[in-house]
Amino acid sequence: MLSGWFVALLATAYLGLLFAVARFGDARADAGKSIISANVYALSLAVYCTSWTFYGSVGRATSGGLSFLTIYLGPTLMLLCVGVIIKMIRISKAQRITSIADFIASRYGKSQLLAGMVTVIAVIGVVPYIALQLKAMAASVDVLLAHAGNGVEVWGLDSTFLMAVVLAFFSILFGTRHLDATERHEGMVAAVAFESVVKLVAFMAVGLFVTYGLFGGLGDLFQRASASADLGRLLELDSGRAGTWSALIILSGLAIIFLPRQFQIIVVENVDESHLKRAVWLFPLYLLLINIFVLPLALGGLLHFDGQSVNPDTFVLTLPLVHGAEALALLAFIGGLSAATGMVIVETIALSTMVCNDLVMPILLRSTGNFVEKRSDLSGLLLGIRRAAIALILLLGYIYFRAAGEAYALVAIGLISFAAVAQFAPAMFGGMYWKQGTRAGAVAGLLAGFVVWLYTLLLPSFAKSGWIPSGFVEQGLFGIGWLKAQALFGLAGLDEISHSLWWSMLANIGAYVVVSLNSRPDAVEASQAERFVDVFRFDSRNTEARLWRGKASPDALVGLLERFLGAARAGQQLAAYAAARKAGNWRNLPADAEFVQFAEAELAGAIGSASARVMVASVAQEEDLGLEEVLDILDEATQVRAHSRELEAKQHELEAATAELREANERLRELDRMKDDFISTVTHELRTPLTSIRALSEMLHEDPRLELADRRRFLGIIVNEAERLTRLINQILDLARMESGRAEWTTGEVDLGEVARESMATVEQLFRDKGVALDGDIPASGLVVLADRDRLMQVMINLLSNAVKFVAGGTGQVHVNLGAAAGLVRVEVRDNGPGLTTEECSVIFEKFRQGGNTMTDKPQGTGLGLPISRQIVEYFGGNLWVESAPGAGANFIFTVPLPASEDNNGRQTK
Amino acid sequence: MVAHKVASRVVASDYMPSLPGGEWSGIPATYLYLFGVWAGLIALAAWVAERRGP
Repeated sequence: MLSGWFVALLATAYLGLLFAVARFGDARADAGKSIISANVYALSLAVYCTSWTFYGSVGRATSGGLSFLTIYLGPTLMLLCVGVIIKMIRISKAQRITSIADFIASRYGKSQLLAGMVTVIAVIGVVPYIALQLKAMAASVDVLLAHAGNGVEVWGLDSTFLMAVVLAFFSILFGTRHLDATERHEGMVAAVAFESVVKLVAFMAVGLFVTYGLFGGLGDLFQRASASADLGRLLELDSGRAGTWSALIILSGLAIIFLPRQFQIIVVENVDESHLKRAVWLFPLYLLLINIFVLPLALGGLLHFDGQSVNPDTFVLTLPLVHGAEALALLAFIGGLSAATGMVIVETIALSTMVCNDLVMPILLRSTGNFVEKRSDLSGLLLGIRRAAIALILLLGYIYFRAAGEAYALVAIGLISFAAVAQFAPAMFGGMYWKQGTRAGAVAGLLAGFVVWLYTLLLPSFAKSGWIPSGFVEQGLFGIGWLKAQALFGLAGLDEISHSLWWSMLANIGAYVVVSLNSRPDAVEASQAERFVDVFRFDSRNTEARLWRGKASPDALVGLLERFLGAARAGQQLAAYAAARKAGNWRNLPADAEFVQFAEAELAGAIGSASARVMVASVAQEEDLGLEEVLDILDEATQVRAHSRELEAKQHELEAATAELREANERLRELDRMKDDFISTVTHELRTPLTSIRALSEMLHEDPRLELADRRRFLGIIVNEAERLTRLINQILDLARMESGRAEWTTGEVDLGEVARESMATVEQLFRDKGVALDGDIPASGLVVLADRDRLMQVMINLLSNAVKFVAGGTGQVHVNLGAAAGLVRVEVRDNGPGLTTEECSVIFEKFRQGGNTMTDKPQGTGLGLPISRQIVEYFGGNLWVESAPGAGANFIFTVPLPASEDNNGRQTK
Repeated sequence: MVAHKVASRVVASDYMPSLPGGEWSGIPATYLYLFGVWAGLIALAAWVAERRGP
């Protein structure tokens, strides 16, 4: 049985667990072992799913059917624009951005005015949203306690106030540990990721319980709903709300980046850009999972509580409770608590940084009482301001919650907040991609958009709540019809969100563009525009130093750092800076532009870029460069970059040319080596017959008593060797002529069939002598090619002579086959000899390489026949190769292309 | 004025693409279609993002 104290204890225990997770995360970060992985980062993005998702989606689905999905489809689509987010992160890291206000202010010349405006808009837009979270927590506690029939009160304070106090304590403890707002709050991020898992598990558990426990599954639930006309409507897309769908998808897509808490988590807390690769699909998957059971829960609640006055926003709790599933209801309560606390903690931390840096600090710096200058260490004061801002924001949220009650202004605040932060979009996107965007344009755009949002959305919500008169909504301001707040200039028929989004964006973008085009940026703006728009190409090392000129005292700069960061932190950062510049001590470094840049960046991390600039300017005698000079420097930097890219391209070309030359050189060396080998082999081949001729001639010359028979035998050998020598020299000359391109060719129409038959006739006697069978399958006509007849004859005779040499006498068989296919005449000379190994198949076409074992067998030819044959065939556009395997004979094949119009028919067997 | 007209058409559009009607195992086709396309988009994003290595 639930009791008030038990619920309170459970909530306290859960928050204690969150403390433990956050403490663990911070301890690991302090030890240099970050627990922020890609998965943790992606899950922490789910801080987007507040109690408005956890409880409110079901409520929205009971009236709008599937339209609740728009709030989650927008973020899915926006995350696909990963390049935009990476650019935002890269700029933020380079400029040490602490918040969305700081981002916009920094881009437009570190403007305190812009930073303040963004902060005010964010606070006005988001504080009621925090109130909504407190309301959700209060409502969930009420549901549980109403069921238990009792309540809990401590010192007369209600549970929501106590919860707000605990959340303020948590946010202060884990959100303001360090002064440097650009430092990550890893403990807080870990706790938020943990909460994301809890709320997903809790919501899905309730969804499964209702869908499969109370009903017979999704099919059963939907069928029962479709039986009712009212509920069946929720299952269809309402074409009348198509405009709302578009507007809500755009709005939620912008909110996922521009809500202060989302900017904090996505940009400021990002430790590694590559984590976005996981977030780009894991976060949308999370959104899909948490939404699967929203419609089933809405239908289940409507079917179950038909005719009863149960608030649909509480179905997640009431459905398990009425069926006695108290443990599940408690899990749902913890899930809702996670959704609300996660949002409140991150939002208050983000807003407190903005309030401190962009509202309070500028006021303090301008205070006439030298309040700031009197204190030697301001770090404690800054932390105090941030902590007070957290408490104040939560207190404001609590007051709004108490004042609004069930008023429309609170119920509708989710989308109203989205529309408020959407006003940052033109200045943000314009600042990142459009160098001509100016501070004046951004101020005009923001102001115009904010005023229109206020007039068309926030004030009408107050009017609907009965807080202010509703005349400006119904009759128009001062009774002027075309100034009706929600039908401005006669644009009627839209829902209030689409109407406000349309007019506010038109005013915002229009003012931003028109004023930007008609105003000139100052020097700081121009240089910041370059840094933001060209963040991936900006050469900070060479350009930064030239963009600042003046005199600065190192002691004054360090004094500034010590006052705002604290002596310990300042010393630590100075030591790191000196080490990066390869100096033992910062005192050895000059107070040059780089030092000033470093000091300003460090200060920006603590007090925001706008205040940091003011503080640095107060201790440094900065020379005003003027817009023209800054533009010249930036232009020069751009040209240097372009030249650098050209040089890089040229270097690549040079490297490629060098590689080609090296390759050509290698080829030349290889050819040189082959030439040496060739000469060596030729010399060897010539010397063998010459040695034989010389030896036998000497014997004949020196010994006159030799028998006649011996003399004849010796002379026969001498004649044979001389013939072989002649043949060898002829072939070498022939090959040399071919390779040098000096060979003479007589090209004409040649009937290859006739050439084959003639060749076979020529070598017939040779075959007969050895007892080798020779036959052929040669078409009678039609195999006419354009070639040199004598050369093709040479190829055929060479192949036939080789075949007869290597087959066995008596059993040897050689078969010649001719045919035409695919525009080629194919000639095959197949034998049943010993065959060739795979290696031999390739080497026999090299010069002086022969088949068989050349170490043991006497060479039977010059070793040039096949290389010459291949040269001939290739000269006429054909190929020569061999197909063989050991023991399976050899099949020498060559092809010669047919003339284009050649026709082949008729075959004859010899 | 042209941009005004075009953009207002987008935001204020009455056009809703015709989605498949009917049902499958009792579940409305519209519901399956929306979640199916959404899941497909997520799967595609995961494939593209994760295949490029670290």
